[in-house]
Amino acid sequence: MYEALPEFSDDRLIALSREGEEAAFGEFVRRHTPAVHRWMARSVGIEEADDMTQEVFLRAFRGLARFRGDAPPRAWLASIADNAVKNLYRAKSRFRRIFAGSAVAGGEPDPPAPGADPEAAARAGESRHFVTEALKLLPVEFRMPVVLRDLEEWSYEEIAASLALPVGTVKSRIARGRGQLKAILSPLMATGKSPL
Amino acid sequence: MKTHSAHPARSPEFLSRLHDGELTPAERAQFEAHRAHCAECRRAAAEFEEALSLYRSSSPTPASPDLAARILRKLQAANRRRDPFGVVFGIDLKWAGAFAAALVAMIIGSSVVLRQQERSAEAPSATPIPVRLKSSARQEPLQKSAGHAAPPAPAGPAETKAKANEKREALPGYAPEPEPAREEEAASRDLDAVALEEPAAEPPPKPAAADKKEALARARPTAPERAGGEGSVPAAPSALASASGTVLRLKVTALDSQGEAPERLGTPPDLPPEERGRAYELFVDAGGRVFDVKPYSERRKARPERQDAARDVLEPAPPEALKSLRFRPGDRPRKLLVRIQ
Repeated sequence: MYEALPEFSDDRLIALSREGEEAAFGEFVRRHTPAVHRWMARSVGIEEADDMTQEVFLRAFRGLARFRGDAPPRAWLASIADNAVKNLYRAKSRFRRIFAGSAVAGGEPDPPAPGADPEAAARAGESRHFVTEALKLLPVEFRMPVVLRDLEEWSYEEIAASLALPVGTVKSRIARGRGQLKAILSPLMATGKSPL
Repeated sequence: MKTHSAHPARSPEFLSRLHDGELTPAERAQFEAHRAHCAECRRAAAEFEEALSLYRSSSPTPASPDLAARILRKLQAANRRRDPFGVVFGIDLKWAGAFAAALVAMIIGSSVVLRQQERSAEAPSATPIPVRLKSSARQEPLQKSAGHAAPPAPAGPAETKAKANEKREALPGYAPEPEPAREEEAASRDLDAVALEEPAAEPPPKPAAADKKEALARARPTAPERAGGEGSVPAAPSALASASGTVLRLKVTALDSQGEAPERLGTPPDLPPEERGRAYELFVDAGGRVFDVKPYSERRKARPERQDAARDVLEPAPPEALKSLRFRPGDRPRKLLVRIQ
């Protein structure tokens, strides 16, 4: 059976995993690690993407018994990822409030990496870095919808199902997120200067 | 909204719908017509598309090839850590529970042992209370009268000691050890014998124990009876002949406060000899007939709530013959005490 696992659907892998078949969950992890890592790299930055990817699969493993199969397994993973991102920024916000005394809202983005020189980096063609940093300026509730729509090219309905939101809310969040992306990235696009 | 309707590209929702191709044909045609002569909307729509294109093209660094393997190792480690049931903070609750139970047992056991040691240390100073079984004392005279020569065996360890003494007596030159309990028993047996054979005889001159005094009182039928408490007037004891020929006496006194006991009528009932020394409460109706009989005890009267349970177990049922007693009718029911002597 182990040789055939790569051919199994996500639903079957999860069903086997719920029956205690660790190899099935291993195959599920191998199959979705690149995607979850992409989501996390866009949502929280490449520095924390590995840890957050691991966190997502740990949560998924612990929550296997609660998976009801209403949505596809990858949508289930996306909801876990969305909650993990929100929890991370909630914890960071709390940390800042306690130790820095700054009243940071939950959706407020991280500051840019210290010592970063966006102009030089832009000139060096490291636009990827700037985009990643710019995405950190997006409110946290817009990140996963934008990632799933514009990076993973999911349908609005699938995003709505995975994030447990109405389709209209998802469309609105994505539109507003896209607008903010444009606002963040437009200076870079026009002058080559980073907005950060 | 007026501004947005004038310049639709200022609305991110409109640009998002435009990007997703969700505009209706009419909306699309209207925007194309507007964009053709509106530089602001052309630029806004172009920047929007460029930003999204930049976003899509700047794909992040892909995951390292061993990330999945690292995650799986972490999962296996977490699963192993969760396998042993009841392990909290690295402490196995099963062993912790067993250790706690052993500790509690040790503490309780040590306290019990210490208490027992304290009791054993106090024991020599306590005065032993001699106990004599009334039933054996009562049955002995009956056996004597029936012609049994062998004395009844005392209960408990004294019995084994007596048997041992009997065996030793068979040996030549052996003198059995005197036993205080048996001596006392013998004394009381003597008193009983006197009471049985000579109901009106005088008591022995020097009774040795308190229960001997009681036996003495039983053996002295002419002595004034004060039991029964308030308002009781001693009545003349009447002699009864039991089936075995033993003469028993009934002494009737009043337990209520309605004057002296009424006169007893008719023939005396036939009572077994083991009833000697017992006392009963008689409940007599106004017609002089006994309608209820209960055992009477001085101690129970003093603390009835503590003695009821023991009475039910230890005290024998009153003889039915007592219900055949008849008294002179009065104007109200009476409560009487009858002592069998």
